[in-house]
Amino acid sequence: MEKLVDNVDKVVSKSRAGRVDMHGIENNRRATGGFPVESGISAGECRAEAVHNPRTANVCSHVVRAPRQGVGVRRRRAGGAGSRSCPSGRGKERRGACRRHRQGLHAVAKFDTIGALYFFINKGGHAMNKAGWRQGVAAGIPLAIGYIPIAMAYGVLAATLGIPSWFIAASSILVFAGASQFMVVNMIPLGATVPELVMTTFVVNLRHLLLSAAVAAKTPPATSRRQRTVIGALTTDELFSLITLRAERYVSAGFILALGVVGYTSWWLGTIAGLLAVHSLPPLLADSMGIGLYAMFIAMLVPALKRRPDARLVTALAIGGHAVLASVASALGLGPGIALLVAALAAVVAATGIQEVRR
Amino acid sequence: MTDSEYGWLLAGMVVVTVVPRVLPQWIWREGAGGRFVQAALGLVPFAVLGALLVPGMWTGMAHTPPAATLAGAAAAIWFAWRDVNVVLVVLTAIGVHLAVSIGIGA
Repeated sequence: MEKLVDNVDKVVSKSRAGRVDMHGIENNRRATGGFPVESGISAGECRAEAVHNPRTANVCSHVVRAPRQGVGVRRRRAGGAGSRSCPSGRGKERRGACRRHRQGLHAVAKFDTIGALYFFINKGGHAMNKAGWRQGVAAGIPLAIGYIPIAMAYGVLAATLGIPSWFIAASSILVFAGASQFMVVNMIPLGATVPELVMTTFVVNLRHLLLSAAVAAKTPPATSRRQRTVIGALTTDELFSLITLRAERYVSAGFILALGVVGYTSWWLGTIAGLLAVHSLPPLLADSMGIGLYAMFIAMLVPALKRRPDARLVTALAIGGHAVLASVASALGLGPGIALLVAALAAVVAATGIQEVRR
Repeated sequence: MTDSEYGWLLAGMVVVTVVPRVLPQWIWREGAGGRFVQAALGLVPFAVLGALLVPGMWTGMAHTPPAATLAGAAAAIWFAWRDVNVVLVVLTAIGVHLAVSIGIGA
């Protein structure tokens, strides 16, 4: 206990000096200096101490929240040795509860899904910018509000086309690619085969090569591979637009991840809401909700064009090129995704070439 | 389609979606491609957004009245030009589209 009091004193004096942000999880880890692991003090002990010494109560919550004891270490530490420092580890259930304390799972329970995902993504040890994460969640709210009507429209449309509900929900949870999902559920009633549908999805999603490369260029170089993988998997047209239209050279990984997680969560939640509302949503409203997607694109593109007049040429080239190419795409045997990729790439190369020549 | 066919479809869709998304993140290296590629990447969002809107907006909304789509798009452009928040732009476009659809008795 002396050790604990010493440690607590250190933490309290640090926080008094104003160097510790009591709310920042990353800072907590620094503040406690790995306190719960290295000092061998469990949250239970800490709590017990806090009963006698109210000064430590605040610190206790940090012990419980310490990210080192996050989800990642659950399996390794779930063994019998884990209950070593549990003061009330008598019954099986009691020990389980105590383990949860020590491993910070309480922290996960206190947060929502997004918080839990934050722990999961961050467990690689690469400290993520918590402030960036918060800003990303805030920036994700318009994205979520844009996604939900479209996701609901998807759920309603797919259900009325006779697609099984489990597939509709699972496609939003596992695939998370709106355009190809819409396309696939439209093709199934026409008798398309599985290989045809997978090929169509591939062709529609090929544009993600371009989107993801542009997002990768905005991701800070120090970002870990795990975080890059998650960012890549969550890259959509909307995330890409929000990230790449930002003026700064790099956008913090936490910001991108938060945006991706908020968008992803709202997408499958919206789909399930659509499935539940399929019989109560007026069909006219469901139809109108489809325009939300395009309105979101407009809301991203128009203000960005105001700020960057030099990008007007490339936009006009892409619009014109794609309008022409899309109208002849089926005659040429090009899928819709390929037509978009070709038109966008050609416009970018042409516009960059013109810019370089002008210089 | 049977349930197992749906299962295979789902697995296939996951693979062909994740690979093009994750691959560039893995192989991207700082400063890749030199100045031309760097300049080009800055223009990519504009080109992709433009190409997504036209003609996708007309083909994607083909099952609704064209007048409603036009009115919704016009409202969205007007609001976006005035730097209105994305949420409001989206909700306004949906509202205008719905109002016009009802108005012309679709």
